[in-house]
Amino acid sequence: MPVSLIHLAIIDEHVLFRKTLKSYLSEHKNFTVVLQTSNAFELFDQLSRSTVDILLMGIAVSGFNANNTLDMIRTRYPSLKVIVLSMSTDMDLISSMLESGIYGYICKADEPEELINAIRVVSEDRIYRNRLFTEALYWNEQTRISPYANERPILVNEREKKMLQLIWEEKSNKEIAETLYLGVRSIEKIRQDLKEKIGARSTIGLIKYAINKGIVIPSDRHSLSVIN
Amino acid sequence: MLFRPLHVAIVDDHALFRKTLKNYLSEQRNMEVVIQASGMPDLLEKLKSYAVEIVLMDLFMPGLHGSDAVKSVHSEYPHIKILVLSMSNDLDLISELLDSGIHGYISKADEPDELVKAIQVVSEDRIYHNKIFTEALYRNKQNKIRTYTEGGIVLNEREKRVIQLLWEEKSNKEIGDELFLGVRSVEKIRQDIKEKIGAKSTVGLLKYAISKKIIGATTPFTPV
Repeated sequence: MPVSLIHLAIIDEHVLFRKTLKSYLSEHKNFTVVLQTSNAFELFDQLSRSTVDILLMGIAVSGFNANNTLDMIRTRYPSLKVIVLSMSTDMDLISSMLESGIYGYICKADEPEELINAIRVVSEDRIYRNRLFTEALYWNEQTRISPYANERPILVNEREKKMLQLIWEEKSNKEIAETLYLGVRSIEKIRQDLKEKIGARSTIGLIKYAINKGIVIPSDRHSLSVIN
Repeated sequence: MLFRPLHVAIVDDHALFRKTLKNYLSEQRNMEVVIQASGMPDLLEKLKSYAVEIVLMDLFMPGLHGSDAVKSVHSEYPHIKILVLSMSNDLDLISELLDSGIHGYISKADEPDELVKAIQVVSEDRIYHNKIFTEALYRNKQNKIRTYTEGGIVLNEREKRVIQLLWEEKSNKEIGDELFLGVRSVEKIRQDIKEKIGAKSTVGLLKYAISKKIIGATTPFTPV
């Protein structure tokens, strides 16, 4: 493979990180950092005047909307390859970037050699593979196939479980209150909080959740309760 | 929540493989093979009578197969999870399958207990992670990225190989033999390539390939 110069650009709000990264990368014979900036506006301005092969995009703070910038890059500079650098290992974040066509995702906590490897691989027009990128690929695929599989588990406590069971037994709030040694007002509040936690709009939603989680088990025999 | 063993369907036109697989899986306590089918029409007919959570499907079957087969199941039974079982290691083929929504891909060369593990994972509506699925995910992503960097036209590895063999003046049958494909498949691939690049004839196809350096125009002509 012919050894050619790789033109790099760095965007990151953390000035200290950006400048030390630039000097680290400049020590490598095949790399030259032609552009560095803290904001997207300056980036696009300078991109129009320089040749850049790979952009290293640092996500310093959550306020920076990386996806917007990535989309703009894809439209205006489709041959520019982006490697994202971040402290975050949040799957939702990484997988949303995958949709914007990034070539690699490096955690800032990793060894610098990883970034060097990544730049080399990406310069050959290949995606840089690492654990995070693989996880994000699966995450994306999983979400596509079954949208609820990736949701964070909702933990229902013992009292809430008991309440769901009592609701299933068609007990009134008053009866539930007596069983749990609480006031009716408290029961009403717990019920409301539980609905919000689970995302249920009504008692039906609560029951569906309870069945789904195995908190109550529907049997084949339905016993009609006597209404007093 | 299931209170009974998992219901599994096996679709494969190789009867010996299908039956021995059914026997093997029947020894597992938590699953039951309720449908055995030799192809998609057979499967779809039997699905009308038997409820199934998971379908184990071969990639290559006469008639409906591959992504089309997956889609035909999902169009009527979207909740059925599909696990593809195949001898093929063709990454482009497998990565195309991903778009139709499969839960996993197992090679017939793998150990049987890997299949059992996969069935377990897939029954929980999760994707089964393994090396070949990972490779397919990356290939799929790589192909998609190329689509927008090269202005929309992307040829996968297999298509490029077909073009190279064409340039060597190989017949469709010879190309098929080299790539372990049938003549019909080779014809289809050639047609797909032409449509993708907008070529009206083989000459147009080769002109495009030369411009993209898929084949070298300076290859000397060797009379047969």
